[in-house]
Amino acid sequence: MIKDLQNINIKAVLIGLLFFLIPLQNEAKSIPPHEHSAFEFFCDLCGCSTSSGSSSFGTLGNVSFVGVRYIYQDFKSKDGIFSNSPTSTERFNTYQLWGRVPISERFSLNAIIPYQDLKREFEDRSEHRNGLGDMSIIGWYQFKFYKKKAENEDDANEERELSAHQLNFGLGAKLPTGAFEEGLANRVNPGFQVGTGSFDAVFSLMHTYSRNKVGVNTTATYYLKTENKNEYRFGNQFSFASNVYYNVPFEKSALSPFIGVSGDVYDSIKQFGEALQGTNGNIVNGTLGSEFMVDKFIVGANYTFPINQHLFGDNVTSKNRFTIYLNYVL
Amino acid sequence: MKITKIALALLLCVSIISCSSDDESLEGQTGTLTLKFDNSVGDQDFIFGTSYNKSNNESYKLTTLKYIVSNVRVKDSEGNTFTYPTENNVFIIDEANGNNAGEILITLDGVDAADYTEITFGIGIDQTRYALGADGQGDFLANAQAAGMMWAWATGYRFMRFDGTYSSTIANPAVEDGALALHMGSVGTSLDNYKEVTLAFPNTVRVRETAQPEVHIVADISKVFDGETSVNFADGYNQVHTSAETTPVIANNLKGIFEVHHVHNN
Repeated sequence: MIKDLQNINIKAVLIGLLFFLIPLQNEAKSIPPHEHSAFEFFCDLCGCSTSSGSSSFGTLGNVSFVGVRYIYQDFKSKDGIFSNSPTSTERFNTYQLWGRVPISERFSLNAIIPYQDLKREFEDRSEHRNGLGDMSIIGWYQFKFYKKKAENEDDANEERELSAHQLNFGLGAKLPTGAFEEGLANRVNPGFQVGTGSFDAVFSLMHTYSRNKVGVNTTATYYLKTENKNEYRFGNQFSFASNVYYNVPFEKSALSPFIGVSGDVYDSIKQFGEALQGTNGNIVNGTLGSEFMVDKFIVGANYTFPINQHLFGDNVTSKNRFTIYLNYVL
Repeated sequence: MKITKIALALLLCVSIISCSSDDESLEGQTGTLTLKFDNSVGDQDFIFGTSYNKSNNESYKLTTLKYIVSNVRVKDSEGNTFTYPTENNVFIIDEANGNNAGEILITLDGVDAADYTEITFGIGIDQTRYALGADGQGDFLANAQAAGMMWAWATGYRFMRFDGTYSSTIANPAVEDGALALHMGSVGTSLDNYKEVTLAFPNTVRVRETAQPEVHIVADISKVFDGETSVNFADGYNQVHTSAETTPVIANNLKGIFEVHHVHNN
């Protein structure tokens, strides 16, 4: 079986919907140059994201890949309007197929298909929702910078050396593929939703810098959200994330620990065109994580914790987020 | 370029925002409006038997907490007022009848569909309703009697009933767990303590045949003691009944305890 798989050629085709998890290939004895770019991204913008921060949109490494990712997040929300109201705990499990495929030298396409499994425990009851979440697709354009030539360099040399800086601009959309339930929106944490029911635009700017074994990447993203069928509109969102990593190469593998900071600012939710009080907010997170590369596989894990937050009038508290993923480099 | 086209297509899609028609006809349509009364002490949910501090080193603990709300009406964005039918427009808000979350619900049926912006209601019974006589009170008279919200007919209704105990260190001698009874009302026709309060909605309340909006009203009962006027149990406010001196002060304070915390448009 494995032998058969090994013989299959990699043909990465995954525009939008279809991801094929691709077979092992033994030729990859050398570690691909590991440029980091923890595309901080896609909090899913879905319900869970309305109150959580930016999860990354790609693997570390500005590489093409397909993979699977699991994200766990938990929140504590007040189940009521008083300081002594009971609280509820929300646990969000998100399973994603995700990937990034090159279209041309400068263009690439990112896609994420999430499956949401949400649980909320009140003091006396619990709630459970699961289903396909909101899919996202984003196109990236890469601006390349070249090093200035030294005076004495041979002009005949056509190959210009790439600068350590790289800039990517992303434009994309989040689709209303997940179910939005209006009844849930009336709760203290309106983010408890499989989907937002809205078609949203995503604008993102990503800068990466890498030199020797150290790299920094920074992403700024704006989510322009629209009103859904229920005349409910989640607030527009600005997210930023910056990570610093260090690459530790081994003989046949490499380890890249990183540390970062990220944050989100949310506008108020609007219903029937009117802003709802206490639905705007902001959060700043810290992240610790690492990727491990062997052959063409990348295993990543990170832990994200809130540093400072004011979500939904302080009635919702983000607790922890764990992420693990397995990607196959194309 | 292919990608540019895709990107443009995506952008175009995003810009096609769902157009909602606000031209729906509301003529002849009615719906249900629910008022949720939620008693609090400051930012805390009120709980029977809990000792709450007030000003001047006094505290109180309640075993009964009820008041009468009447003449509920709502005003829409065009200035029209819908008044709930008079005969049913009187309610006893009794904390003991609250749900798990301590909320007491009033359901108003047959409310004209409209976008409402404010609510007005009375606390207690106005002279007009009282003038209808005992026979003109409908079922409410019996309900009020059963709930202990009546003195004799000649004296009239108790608009509120806060029973429990109080402690005061400013009383001389200091009181520990003394009897507390605030039973303010109008006294026949000689003393009118009926008050009305108007509250703006923080968001439009959209009553429709297909939508059942809820208005969440928080009543901060600590303001009964420390409202427009701060009163001391030690000064005779431990027993408030038909006094022409103390009841108007409590009536004024009671009027100021209400706030619309938020609304839900379901």
